[in-house]
Amino acid sequence: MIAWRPSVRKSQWLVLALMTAMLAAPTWTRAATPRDELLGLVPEDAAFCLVIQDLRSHALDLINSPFFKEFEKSRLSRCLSGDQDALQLQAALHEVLGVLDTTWPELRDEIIGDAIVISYRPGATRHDESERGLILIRARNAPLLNTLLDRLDEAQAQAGDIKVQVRKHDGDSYRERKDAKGQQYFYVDQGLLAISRSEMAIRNVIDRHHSAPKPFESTVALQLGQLGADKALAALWINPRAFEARMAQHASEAGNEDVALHRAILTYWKALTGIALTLSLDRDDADLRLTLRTDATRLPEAARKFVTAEPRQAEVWARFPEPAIFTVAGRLDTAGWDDFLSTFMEPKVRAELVQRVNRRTEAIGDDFVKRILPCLGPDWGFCVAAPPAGSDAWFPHALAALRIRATTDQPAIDQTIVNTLYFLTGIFVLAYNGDHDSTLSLHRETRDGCTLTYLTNDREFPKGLRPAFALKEGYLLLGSSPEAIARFRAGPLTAVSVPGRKGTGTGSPRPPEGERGGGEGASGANRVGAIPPVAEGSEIPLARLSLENLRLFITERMSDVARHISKKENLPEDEARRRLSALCEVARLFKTVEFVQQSQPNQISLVLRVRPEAPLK
Amino acid sequence: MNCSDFENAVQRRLDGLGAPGRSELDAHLAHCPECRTLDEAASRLEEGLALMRASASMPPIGMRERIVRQALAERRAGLQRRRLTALALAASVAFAIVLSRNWLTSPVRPPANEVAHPSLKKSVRDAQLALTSIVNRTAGTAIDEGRSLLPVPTSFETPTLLARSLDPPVRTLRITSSRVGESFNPVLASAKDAVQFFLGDDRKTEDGQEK
Repeated sequence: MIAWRPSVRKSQWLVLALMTAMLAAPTWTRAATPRDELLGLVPEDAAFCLVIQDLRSHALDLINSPFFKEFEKSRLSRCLSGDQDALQLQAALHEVLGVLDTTWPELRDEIIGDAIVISYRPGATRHDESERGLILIRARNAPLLNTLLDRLDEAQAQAGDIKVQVRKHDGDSYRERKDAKGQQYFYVDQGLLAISRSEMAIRNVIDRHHSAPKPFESTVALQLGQLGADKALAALWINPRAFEARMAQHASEAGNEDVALHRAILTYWKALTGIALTLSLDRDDADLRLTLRTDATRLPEAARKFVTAEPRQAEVWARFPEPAIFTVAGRLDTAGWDDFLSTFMEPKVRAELVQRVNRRTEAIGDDFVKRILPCLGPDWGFCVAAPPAGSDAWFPHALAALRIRATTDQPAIDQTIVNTLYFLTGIFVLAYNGDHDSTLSLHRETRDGCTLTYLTNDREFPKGLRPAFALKEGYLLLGSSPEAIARFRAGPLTAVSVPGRKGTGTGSPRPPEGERGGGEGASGANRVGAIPPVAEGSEIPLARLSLENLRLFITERMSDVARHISKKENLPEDEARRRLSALCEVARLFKTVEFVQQSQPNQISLVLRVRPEAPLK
Repeated sequence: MNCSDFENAVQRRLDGLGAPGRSELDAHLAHCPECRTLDEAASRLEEGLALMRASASMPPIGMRERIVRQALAERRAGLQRRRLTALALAASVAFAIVLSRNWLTSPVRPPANEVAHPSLKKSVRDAQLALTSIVNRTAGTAIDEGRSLLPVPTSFETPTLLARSLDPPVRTLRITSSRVGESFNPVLASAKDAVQFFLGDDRKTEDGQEK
């Protein structure tokens, strides 16, 4: 009874001490991860740093995933695995693993599965002594790492490729491996492996490794955290500061006409505080993400507007037909872009460009750049969708849309533009018919209150192609046929989310289902209401390719599409069918490929996202 | 002997049809670094084939023709390859998955080599060549197939008048955008240097000139 009380007190103190230590030094506990340990050894002046982490669990998740099982069953997998180059690669890797007496699962799980870091700093001049490259690996099986390195040395020494010497620094030893191209240096300590062609770099690693653990994260780790790149399977960090002097020198060497451009680029570059390219694998998608972080206060006014403006989704996402095969849409502040582009040009070059543009657009009105350009946009888009089922016109519906805004200066700009297009189309038809055997016919008609102009050529155009244009709902529309233009949704929009979108934004405005109709001219030009900005960190779609819808379209219209390709490419129809079937085989594995933008204060990310049909984990 | 003669000689040697005397080949190799690379590739191939015959682990069916074709094609296709790099990356991911089906998941150890190993470094180089070839071919095929499958009507060309009218402003913008690209050359050059640094490519030829 007496004996246990002090021991309980002791353990309570111990627990309290541990908790206090953990609370007081949260960054220290975080730094214990293999990735952070390696990043602590990376020189702060690195220009590039590639981090690969947790390869073991990512690889195992992928190999055991439903997607992988589907992939194995696919024709693509069979083609690739029977390929002669694949066999050659397999033979070569087989040899390498044979020499090391190991297997890929062992190498992946025991040696490179936790973290790999590769950093590089260019030399003062190309490939000089100050160039530094470093490969760092944290192996979880230290004895195996030592064994493999010994086998590697032995095999290469036997083949006469290298000579190995042991060298010392700060009481520790490292290996110098001399080969035909120079020296390589290997430092190994309790599962840590550092490789470099620079002896100084290895010595620096040893110094850092010997110094006491630092109670703060490394510069690279902090930067990756700020850029949202700390959890990715692979992340490439680019340090803008490492290139500033070189870019300044490059700018100083530029010719007179390029001075403004180089000066502008250098200004933008100096405003960048970090760049990261990451690859992440989630259960439902794989993301390739480019993130740029800027100090907006250092940007010129014209560019600052783009960085600080509230991100909004293009309204046309809600007006294009669904289900679509491919959609690309965005917002472009044409007036702002004119200022922005001007920062890259010498005043003389810009004046020449403006003069050239104005001279070629005099039919629409004088001073296109100043008076007409601000009326165009900001919303624009392009969409391709399958024609409705049952229609004998197989050609896909393609639709391009550009918002036209009437201003007090240009109250009827939309009508002016459409009349000019009509005039130019007429001239084009005359010219075409003079040169070709088959003739184009120009038509104009009104449907649902919308005046359509379209061309026909029954001999040359595939069934369903009748190029058309019209004004509708404040947009200038160019379509593959009048039917495609009719599918552009009209009417008021309600806010709903875009399918498959990440983030918390309210999404795009969407018209009520089934609503049709439309208008034209000045009455429709300003009908569209203001689009609410998306919530911070939400995603804005920029482009989407639906492989699911593409596959459905090809499958349903195989005969027509194959016949068209056979004629266009001068191929046998069976060959065209074979190619289309192969495309469908690949498309069967994936739902969509998307390109989205994600904005946060002073930070913009562009994401290429692939969504497979079956989960990746 | 010129480069073309040398290529033919290498082809004949690999086909077992005999080749000109070594002294003639060496004389050409002495002043042609490109052909030296080809000669090295051919020697590696012969060593690799000898090794594979000894271990009988992989049948060399059609391999010599393919590798020679690959080595020759590689010399001609450098520029196109750079353009395809992005797609090649995607293809390599797919390829890595395929490869894993056969052996990346297998815990079975490869048999120890029964003959002296030609060179680990050369095996790695062969693996690089094979991987480069397959990803470039996959990417090239994807681009060609994609182009042919686009349902663009053949007869609907850009009107000459419109193209001519838009040409001068478009040209100015194109020149500007290309100059913008050029101003990032210090970054791109460093990235290229980094890749060379880690892949261990020869940075200088034997006479000290930058490649």
